[in-house]
Amino acid sequence: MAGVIARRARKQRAFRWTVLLVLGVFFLLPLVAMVEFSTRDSSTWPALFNWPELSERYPALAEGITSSLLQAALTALLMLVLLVPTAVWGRLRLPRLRRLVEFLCLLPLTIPAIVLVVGLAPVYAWVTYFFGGSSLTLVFAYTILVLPYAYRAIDAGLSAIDVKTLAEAARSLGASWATVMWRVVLPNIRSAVLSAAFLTVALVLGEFTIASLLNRTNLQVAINFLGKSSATMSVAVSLTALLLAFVLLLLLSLLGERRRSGSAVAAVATAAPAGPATAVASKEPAA
Amino acid sequence: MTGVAVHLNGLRRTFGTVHALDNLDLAIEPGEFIALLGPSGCGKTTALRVLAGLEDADSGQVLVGGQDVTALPASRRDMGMVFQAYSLFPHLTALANVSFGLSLRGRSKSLKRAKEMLDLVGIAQFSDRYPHQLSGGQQQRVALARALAIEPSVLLLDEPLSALDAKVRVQLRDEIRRIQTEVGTTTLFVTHDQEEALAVADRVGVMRSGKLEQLAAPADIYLTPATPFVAEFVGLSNRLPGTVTGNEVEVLGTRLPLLSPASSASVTALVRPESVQVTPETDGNGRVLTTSFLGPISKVTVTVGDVLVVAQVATDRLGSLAPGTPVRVTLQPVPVAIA
Repeated sequence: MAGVIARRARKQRAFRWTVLLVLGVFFLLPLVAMVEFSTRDSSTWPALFNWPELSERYPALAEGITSSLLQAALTALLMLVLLVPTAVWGRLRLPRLRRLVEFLCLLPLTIPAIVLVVGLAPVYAWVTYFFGGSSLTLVFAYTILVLPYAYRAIDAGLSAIDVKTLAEAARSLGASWATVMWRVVLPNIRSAVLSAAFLTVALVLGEFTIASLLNRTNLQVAINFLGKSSATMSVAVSLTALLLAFVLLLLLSLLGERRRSGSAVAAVATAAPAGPATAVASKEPAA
Repeated sequence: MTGVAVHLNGLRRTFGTVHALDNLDLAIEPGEFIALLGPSGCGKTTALRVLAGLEDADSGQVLVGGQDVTALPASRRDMGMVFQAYSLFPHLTALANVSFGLSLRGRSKSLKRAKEMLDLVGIAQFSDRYPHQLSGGQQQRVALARALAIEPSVLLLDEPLSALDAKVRVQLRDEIRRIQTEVGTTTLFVTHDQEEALAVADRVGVMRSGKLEQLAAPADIYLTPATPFVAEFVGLSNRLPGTVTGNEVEVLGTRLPLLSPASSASVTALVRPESVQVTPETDGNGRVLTTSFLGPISKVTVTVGDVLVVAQVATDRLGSLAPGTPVRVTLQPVPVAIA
């Protein structure tokens, strides 16, 4: 009997290692290739981490990096300002509308980016009219694009606490609504808010389709453009962006582990894989 | 700290077709401890939430200390509240939870006062613990301390004990009464547990369908219920057939005074188990059906003809009342209500 169990355990172990190995090769091989390719020109990596030189040699890339970082920060901010109060208010006052809000927030996930752009193009004619053609105007489109992930994360965070009772307790102790949000709700959904922000940043850093089709600049558009003139540099930047997204997601899952409640983590974990990895990976052919 | 008077005048509140509050009037004396008792959905929690400002009444008036607070938001009503669900802020320690309301008021000595309050509720030693490190009973003690720390004009307790286990519930219930007596804050306590309500309150209000059926001292509620609903809801009652003659009713051969006049001759009288006496007798009118051991007092179910009668007996008498024993059932001549 014991022999059967030991044999089965050995088999399972062997199976696990095989899966891990195959998947490891599948995922790592392109990365190794990227490292190998980007190091063929020895001046590539030093230039990437020397901002003055980078912005002089590759002005379009430097502009792309700055716009993407700004877009990421502003999108995260706008998303939080819009979504957190809405989600909290929905839970407190309009619980019946929650399904509708959830549906609306998940909608961008079901619409392909290309279709989204077709709809966004005429809207952006007006956006350009009012706000000019700056690449930062993409923030509006991105805020909608990140809603599915951000909403899931924040909603899961709110599910883990009894928002209604906590808010009522704080109200009865004399807290204004602003105080309730700032001192009671936010500290208790802090990791959910961070998750939403990280996912937003990762997603925005990897976005290509909308920016390209609306003729705006961001990191991915710049990488694509650079691929035509300096292939090694474009691969180096792709790799860096990929690693940055990887680090963000790693931080996110570490945050998730620290949470006492498991519900938020599960939602974030399911939302994460659709993020920047695919977007960045799709840039590789361009390099 | 001395209490203030609270008046709820003609409160109405409907949810769809349900009248949660149906022209409710309630006057609470300064420093009084009132318990609102009733089945679920009777409007007792709605009444408390309207008083707290967490729910708006469709019409009616809320007066606290003579001032009309009907239009004031919850944050400006100056009421301490303890909820049924655990409501401590999870990210704050017990001490920080208690000083939360004080810090909003910009009190300089909020920490000192918070410590005093934790001491008052008997868990000063846990002041640095977070809510998830505290048991349910301890959490509710902290919640009570937090509610009292702001020196509220009214203390509102919304079924604060219903999530706790039986022993802690009784302990904390008595503690709440002790603390309330000590600080003298006018208190409204909502519960569906009649024992709880009868044990702690100065007066108990029994509610039904958004209305107050009776508001009286616990003993009066139990002994002289104003309506059949109160008689049936509070305590156990035998429903026994009886015949009315004048202002008395004859039940199982005993004449009992009526609490309220009857409209017909043949009625159902509500007789408390403790006024039923059961004595073993070979040619008695009844026979023991079952017995249940309930600690110092036990319950005996007897059949008299085709009527079931529940009696309460001292447990040491159970030995002579085994199932099947012929017994004589008599009733004490205390006033009874009719259904």
